[in-house]
Amino acid sequence: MSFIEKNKRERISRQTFQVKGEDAGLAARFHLYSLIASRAKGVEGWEKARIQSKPRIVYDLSGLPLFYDFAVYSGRNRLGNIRTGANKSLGNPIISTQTNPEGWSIDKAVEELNKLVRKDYKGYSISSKRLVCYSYPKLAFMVNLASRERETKQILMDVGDYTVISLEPGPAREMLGQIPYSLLSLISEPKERENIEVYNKVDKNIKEVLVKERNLEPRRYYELKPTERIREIDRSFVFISPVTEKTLDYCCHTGSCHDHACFCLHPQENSVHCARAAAQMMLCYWRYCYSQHEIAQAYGVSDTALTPVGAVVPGLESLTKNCFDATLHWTVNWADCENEIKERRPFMSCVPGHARACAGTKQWNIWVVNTPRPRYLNIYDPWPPNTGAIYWENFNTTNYLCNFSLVRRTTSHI
Amino acid sequence: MEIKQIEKTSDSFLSMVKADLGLPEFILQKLERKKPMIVKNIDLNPSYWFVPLTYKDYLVGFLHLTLDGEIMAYGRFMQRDKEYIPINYLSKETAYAEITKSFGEVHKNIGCPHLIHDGPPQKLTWMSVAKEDDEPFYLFWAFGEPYSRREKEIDKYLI
Repeated sequence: MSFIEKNKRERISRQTFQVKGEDAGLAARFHLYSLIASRAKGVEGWEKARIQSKPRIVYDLSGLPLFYDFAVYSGRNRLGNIRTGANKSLGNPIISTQTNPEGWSIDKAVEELNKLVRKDYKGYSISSKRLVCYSYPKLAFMVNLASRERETKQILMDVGDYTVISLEPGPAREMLGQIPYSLLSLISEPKERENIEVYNKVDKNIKEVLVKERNLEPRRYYELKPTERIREIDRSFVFISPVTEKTLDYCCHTGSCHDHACFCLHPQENSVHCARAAAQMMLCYWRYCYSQHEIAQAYGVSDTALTPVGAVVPGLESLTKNCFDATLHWTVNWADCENEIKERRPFMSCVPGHARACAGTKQWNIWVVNTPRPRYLNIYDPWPPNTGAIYWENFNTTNYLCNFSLVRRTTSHI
Repeated sequence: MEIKQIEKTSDSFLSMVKADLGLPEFILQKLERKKPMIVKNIDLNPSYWFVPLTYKDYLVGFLHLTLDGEIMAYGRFMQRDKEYIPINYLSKETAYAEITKSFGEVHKNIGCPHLIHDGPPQKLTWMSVAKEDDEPFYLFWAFGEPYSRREKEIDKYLI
């Protein structure tokens, strides 16, 4: 009986796919520090913890090592478990973190296994046993039995409820329940290639950090008091920024050049001047100084009338003496907004019936699983009239009408 | 979502983003989160929560949350630190007095003002409805700026 194709097994058993225990240990330690730095729920007190240096190896039904399980202890109390991958085809080195003690005991499982063999396999004794993941995340003992007559048998016993699992491989898509299958066999070849790259990249980053941070070496780290450990971790992990933010600026705001705003809020002068005020902010950034009245004239509307969307592009281009290309974008997507700001160009962000200027983007790098990544636009809103507001607007919850970009034309010098 | 939960969400979110409000340190130190207010749409149906952030007697910043408590926006009013909105601009009495002062000579029977958004959620304003030849006439006061119109809503392609 085989749980994996021969060629695939040969390929992923090569050294390039194997994760050394030492590297897995580094990944587990790095993960522990990250958890402490993040102050994540469920890991309170883990700064007092120590990672067991020798991991427990969990095998795949293909026979290859699948996971390294690193127990996390505080004194004699087991706080949880950090599971790392033992094969690079799994991708990111960290597989899971258990923040409570295991619900099963290996000693009790061994005891139950011995009872089972004595009762149901008379004349046989255990020649070898391995902990395997037979139906992720379920674990079992894969046991080889041998009799005095040199007859052999193989059994699989779940370590949680001690049931004997049939060793018939389950169909790939019917993985619920206690049907055994090889987790590694499910990873497609292109995914293997992708995952090995992910693994190598993360592994490289982990090593770069841990090599530099000598105080995070186990010998030094475990000698520190818990408060000192947190301090060391916080100092080392500052580089992990919770947000990526970019706002428009002209200068470095140092020396005598620190007390000003590179992008200026221009509140609208009456209740219908929003498209004029938003344009005024963009034009001011490019050092074109126009009043909202002048911009209304360029749009072809009176000071007391609203601006039709179609009037903005010709208006902006005429105000820049056609040195800039103005473009109306009916589709508003995050990548375009981010790109405008990266290119140091403010743009006009319109919601139905209202225009504002945008001068920055920000997205969270840490967010709740299965929810949209929090993304915000830095809005310079000319509303309320003669007041205005500057705020971060949730891109995921806002109903946008369109954007207007303003890009400098390139001049041919031939 | 209940107001208590909105307050809780606001406080916890504010603790994360306080520094991003763009307000100077002396204001941030004494910043107060006031009771959330429901902002209605022009049909006077509840639309979102406006959470005022104040410093002394001034309205300096805000959080906008959906009725389900999701953050829509957070930031500050104005750009310069010496020009803030008086906190009484959030009072219904002040809004009514201002609307009456601006439109009282022309419009009689001015109704009670409501904190609404005129079109998109970003256009926060007070609105009263007056009757003119038995037809409604909409009177607005946007934190200092009065304006009015006969139509209830404006075309979304006019900005």
